Amino acid sequence: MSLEAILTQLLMGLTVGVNLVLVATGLTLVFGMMGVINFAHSALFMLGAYAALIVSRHLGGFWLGLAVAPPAIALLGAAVERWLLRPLRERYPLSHLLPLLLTFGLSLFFEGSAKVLWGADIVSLERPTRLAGAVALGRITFPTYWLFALAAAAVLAAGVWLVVERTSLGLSIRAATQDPVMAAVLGVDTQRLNTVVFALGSGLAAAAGVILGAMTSLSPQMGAGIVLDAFIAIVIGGLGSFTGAIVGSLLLGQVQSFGVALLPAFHTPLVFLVMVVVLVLRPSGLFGAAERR
Amino acid sequence: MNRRRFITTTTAAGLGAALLPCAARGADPIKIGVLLPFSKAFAVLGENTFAGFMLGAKEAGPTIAGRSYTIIKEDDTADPSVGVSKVRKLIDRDEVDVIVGTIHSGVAAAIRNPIVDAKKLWLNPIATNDLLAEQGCSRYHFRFSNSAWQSAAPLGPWAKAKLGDRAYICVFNFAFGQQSAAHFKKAFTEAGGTVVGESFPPFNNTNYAPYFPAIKDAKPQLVFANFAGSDAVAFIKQYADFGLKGPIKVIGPSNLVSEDVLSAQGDAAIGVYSNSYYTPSYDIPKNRAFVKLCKDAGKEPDHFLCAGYDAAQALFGALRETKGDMENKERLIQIITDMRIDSPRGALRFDPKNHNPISDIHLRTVQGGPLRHVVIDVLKDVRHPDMGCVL
Repeated sequence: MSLEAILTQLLMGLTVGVNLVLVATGLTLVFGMMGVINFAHSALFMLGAYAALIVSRHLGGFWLGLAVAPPAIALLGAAVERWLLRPLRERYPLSHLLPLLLTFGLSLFFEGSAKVLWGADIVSLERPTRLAGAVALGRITFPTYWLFALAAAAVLAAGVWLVVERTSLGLSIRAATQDPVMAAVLGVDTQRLNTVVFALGSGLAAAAGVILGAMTSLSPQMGAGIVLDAFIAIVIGGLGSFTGAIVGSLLLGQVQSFGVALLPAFHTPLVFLVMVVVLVLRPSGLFGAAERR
Repeated sequence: MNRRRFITTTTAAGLGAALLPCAARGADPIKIGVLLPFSKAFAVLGENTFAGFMLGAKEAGPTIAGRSYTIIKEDDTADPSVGVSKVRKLIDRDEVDVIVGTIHSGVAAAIRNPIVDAKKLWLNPIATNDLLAEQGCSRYHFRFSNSAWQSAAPLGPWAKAKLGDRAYICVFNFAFGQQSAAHFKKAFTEAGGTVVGESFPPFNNTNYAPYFPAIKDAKPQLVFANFAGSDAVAFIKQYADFGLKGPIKVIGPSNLVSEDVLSAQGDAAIGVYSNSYYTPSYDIPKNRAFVKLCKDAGKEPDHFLCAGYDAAQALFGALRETKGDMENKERLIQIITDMRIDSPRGALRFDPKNHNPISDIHLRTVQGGPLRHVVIDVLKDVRHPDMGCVL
């Protein structure tokens, strides 16, 4: 492999990895605080992309779509948590299965609705012309849109990291993901926090949906693959851990990128092999034990 | 219809049946079973194929030589096990006279034995499985699209002559991709070209970028690519993003840049070469009429509509010749085998050795403003090689 190829492969992996962080954050924080694997996460990713498509087609442009879609889907996420998930969990506080079934049902509902509303046809999100072409970075050239995707996701992920690690809201979130009951006893409003975290995760997934949607195409099932990757990333990083989601996602991006280049026939199992090795050595994931009980 | 009238017509029909064993069956309609994917990933393809068939039926009129027909639709969901149970239902419960279907190659392989064992006439509009022209061929089966071989092998010598000597192969990793890759590789190498590398991304992949540095390092002049649906969109877009499109030409079967993905691919598809038995912009009188027929019905013409339409032309044309008689299967088979179908693609006829279509293959390139396929070459009378078929 030439040095150019290695650098290109590294940047490609980073672009995918950083976007994976956006998807994985919501999954891992919701699991940490509520003990629920959110099966509707892939649908929220997809709805983000379609929301941006509708806005960009009818109101004007990719940028407006990117600005409007994530907050809109965050509101949708907040509504789902406040009026569906919370009543269910209050009624059956001991059940982990019912919230899981609820999110699974929601994912079917959202995907079915998308098909009815926008059809099963494959459609595309127009990119701004300013992001067309490629830029030279020393010895390699890299597509402008991919650099934008890398930078935009990195800025968002860094913002979330600052909030979680450096603010009092973040302190409450970290406390509640470690021990929701104890956090509540100590005066953290965990109910409000659940809504905030669910909304945040939904908005981030939607942002990734917009950014990645313009690299591929939009269809009602578009979220399935990336959310599976995000799930693998948070299992590697440690379920419920925010740091773990970041590290797991970035690692997975590189494993996929270099896996294709170095072991082309074996790269799909390779991802799972990494997961198995991590789980054998550290059953609770790379950062799971430190942050969870 | 009042009761007396009902009795008279049925009695007349019964009397007719007694007197004229053939033509008198005019009273009970011919049953046409249509098995296509109307839901899930192939839903749009199934709907278009059906729309094409219905355009042909509409042209033929509501009765053929005085005999009416009914069409019974079933959805195989592009799933082989569903396809088998639906085809059994059509044969056993509905007692259809002819089966029109399907699209997915796996479903086609699965429904082959039930149809052939029941000795039903089988008009296959799309499914490209090579087996149906080889060991799995049958005298009851006629195909209206092309085989996987026809969609890939003719590209080999053409690419060698027009695009360059060094090819890289990048196709999705399942039967259709692998079969087409093998056919292309053999034909390209036999024409004197060299295949400098191969990669097989998984089905339903969204990120093709990691495959590109290896392609660049192998320094090919062209890439043979075979992807469909959202995979084709992601591949073509990212191929252009990473600047490979200019220096390294892309060529592949029709599905790589077919009408269902072309608008989503946008300008990234410009310059991509593909082949197909049908191109909407192909300028012959029959196709101009067909394009108008589609547009009047609110449909964009594509190769699915064309194949469905031709299946209807073959069926109703043969029935006109037998005066609506569906019983003599051997005569119907003979008529269709000898038929020259005036297809929107140009002349269409069947290979008497395997009932696979012999038709022209269009080599096209995508041009912009608006996005469309432009035919740059026509390979005449392409036929599937003789490989183990006994009809």
